[in-house]
Amino acid sequence: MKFNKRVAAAATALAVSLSVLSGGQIASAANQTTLTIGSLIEPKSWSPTQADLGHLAPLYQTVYDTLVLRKPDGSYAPNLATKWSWQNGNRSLILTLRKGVKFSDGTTFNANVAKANLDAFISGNGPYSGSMAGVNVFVVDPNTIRIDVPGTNPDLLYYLATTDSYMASQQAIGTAALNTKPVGSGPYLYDSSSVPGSQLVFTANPNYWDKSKIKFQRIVFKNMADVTARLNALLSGQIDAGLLDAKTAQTAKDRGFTEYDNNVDWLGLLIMDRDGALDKNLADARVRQAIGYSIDRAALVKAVQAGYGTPTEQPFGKISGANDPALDSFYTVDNAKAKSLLAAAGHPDGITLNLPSWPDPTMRALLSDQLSKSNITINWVAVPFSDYRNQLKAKKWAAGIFQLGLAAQTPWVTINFVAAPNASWNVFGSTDPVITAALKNINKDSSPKNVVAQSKVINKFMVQNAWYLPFYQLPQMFFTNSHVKTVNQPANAVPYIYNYAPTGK
Amino acid sequence: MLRFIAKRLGSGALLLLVISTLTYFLLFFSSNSVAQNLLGETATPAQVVAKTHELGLDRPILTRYVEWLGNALHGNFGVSWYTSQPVWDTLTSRLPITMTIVLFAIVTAAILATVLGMAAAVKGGFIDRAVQFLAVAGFAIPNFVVAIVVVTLFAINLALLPATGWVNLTDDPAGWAKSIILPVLALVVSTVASAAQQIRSAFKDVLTRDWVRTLRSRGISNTEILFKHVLRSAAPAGLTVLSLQFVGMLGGSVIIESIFALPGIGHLVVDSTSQGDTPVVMGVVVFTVIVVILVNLAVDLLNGWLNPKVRV
Repeated sequence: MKFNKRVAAAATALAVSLSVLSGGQIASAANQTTLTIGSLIEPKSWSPTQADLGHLAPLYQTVYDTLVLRKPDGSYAPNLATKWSWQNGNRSLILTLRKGVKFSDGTTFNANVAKANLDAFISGNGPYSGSMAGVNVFVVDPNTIRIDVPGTNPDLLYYLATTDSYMASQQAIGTAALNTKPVGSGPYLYDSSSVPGSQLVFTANPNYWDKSKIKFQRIVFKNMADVTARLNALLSGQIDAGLLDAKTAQTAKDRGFTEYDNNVDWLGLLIMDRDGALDKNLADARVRQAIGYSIDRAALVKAVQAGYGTPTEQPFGKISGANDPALDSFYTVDNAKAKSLLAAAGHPDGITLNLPSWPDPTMRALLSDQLSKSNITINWVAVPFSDYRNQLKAKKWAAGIFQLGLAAQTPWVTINFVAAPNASWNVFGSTDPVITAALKNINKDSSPKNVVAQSKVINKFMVQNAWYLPFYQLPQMFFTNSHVKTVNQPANAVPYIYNYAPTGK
Repeated sequence: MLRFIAKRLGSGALLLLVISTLTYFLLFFSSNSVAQNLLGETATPAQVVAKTHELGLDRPILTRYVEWLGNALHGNFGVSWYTSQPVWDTLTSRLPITMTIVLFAIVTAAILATVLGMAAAVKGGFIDRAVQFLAVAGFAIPNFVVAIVVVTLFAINLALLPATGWVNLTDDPAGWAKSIILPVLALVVSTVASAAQQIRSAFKDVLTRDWVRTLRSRGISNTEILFKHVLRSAAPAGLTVLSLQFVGMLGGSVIIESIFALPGIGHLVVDSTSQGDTPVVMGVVVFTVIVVILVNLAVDLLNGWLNPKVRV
């Protein structure tokens, strides 16, 4: 695995070097009727119950409609639901459904179908089924459903607009065939010429209810996990759009391709064992803060990311509303302060921090050097990277470097990702009276304004108490050629399928 | 001959059983938290437990192995835990791609290596030195470097060939031919290098034999001696190297498949192994072992045909 990573890195470096010798973009047909995207992955299953975010979102959107649409500015718009309203003290969401929508198998969309899909999602044990835990769905009339939430769920609309409400034909729900062939009502139809593992082909749905969403006659997703392959395909005109990285982006920029940077993830040190179950030293906030004061984030961005990235110290992204720019300078590098904090915590001679070995040697070397200036020694322990995340989540490590995809999420999603006692990345279930009080407050008043206000409290607490020590936000470097344009989607690594359009060139 | 083939097939079947059993148990110890990998980082512990049960991973390893073996003997390799695709369908769609690239590469390499090896051994002098230099250089340059260079030159700069992707022969024969040229080229270079060296050495050795001098003294033409007699005697050495290269290419095709975005088994092996997708890994292992056994058998038979002494 290590060998392969080195080979891949060398291949990328060579590809970039050689590509510099090449000219501009390769010309293709001006009348762009096919959109070809270099995609990193394919769906594990076409069943909407297994839907996921990120790179998979545009694939599901090609063939499935959601009830609600999330626009690039983060607002919500009608889709299969034409309008909605909260009732019963924000515990019931009433959705009016669009009439006359047909699935690719000819069946009709209505309230019963919507309920069947949502029920299947809740019980389907997919990656996001937990977001609908305890939710009940009721058919009010043939074109209206009511979704009752058991407690606070201020981001139900977000989930309905992303993973939770892709609508499949009722006849297909639960069948094995749906795993390999989608049956949706989306703007495009799955084409039989698709070759899973190689490329997925979709053709415009002639019966689609919103023609404005169909901007191409054909969409092709070419499966290209390797960034060198995506760069070469982009340069040679085989794909119109694709995600590159810090090592390959400059080549595409030099060749005139359009860059769309989207800060979706952050990378940093997750100090998970805040009660000292595995590492007693980390139970003391002063020790965690000392680590924070030892990290030179700008130097990490420069060395590890070739300058692509924005230093940050907080897990809440800007679009969440809870992000506070002042917090991004809370841990200005101060080795003297770090040493005094360690001394006050009873470690005048410093500490040793055991971390699972992060695969990037530059990151390891630089971080070891930075922390050593505060008498903090990192002991990197080799871990197979394929098992890295699982080991973090299995409480095998008190802390570890990781990349979390939440910088641009909504505040409630972020709380449930990193802050709440049962949050996905609150691995040891840490809590504190400040967080408990904020969560209780949200439970009483889940209005967007109050959720943001309480999220600010949580964000500040987590930064000041060094629950997480983010290094920088990682830009997703997406590129298109001159024939296609797109718009970034907040909280998603790649643009939504609706955001693409031909440039006319 | 039939007894020889039956014996080799019998030992091959035993080898297949041993390797597949070892692989199954090694996967059990190396692939943790398949359910967690499947459900992603947002999954709750309860979801992970439910998925583990759904996949049957909470059952004893022996029970699972016996069930897999029983199904495999009936040709049922199960369904990928990650893609929901039947393993058989995945393999039958991906194996031909890898096999096509590898077979074309090995045949091309065999022809080139034979020509270069023969020329070096027979002509000597500058040609010999040039072939030896090229052999060392070819062996030293990794496949992926060759791949990047040919892509940049032929696909990006000259736009003569596709940079990535695979085209089915039945869909577009010309497109298919274009899509395999660069991957084959990338694989051929190092293979030619090592095989040419072996063939050169074998040729030189055979050319010094007494029976070659005897043939010459009888007035038989040099061309007939070289192609009818010397080549036949020297071929086993080259064949052995090429068969080893073939097996190596099957395992090492992952880099080439990544760079050219080819949906072959190389990438499938890496992905499914790192994810712990046991049904797919087992399917790939079984198929690969069968291919290796058949290739070795074919080489043995070919060697026996070329050199009757080997049959003993």
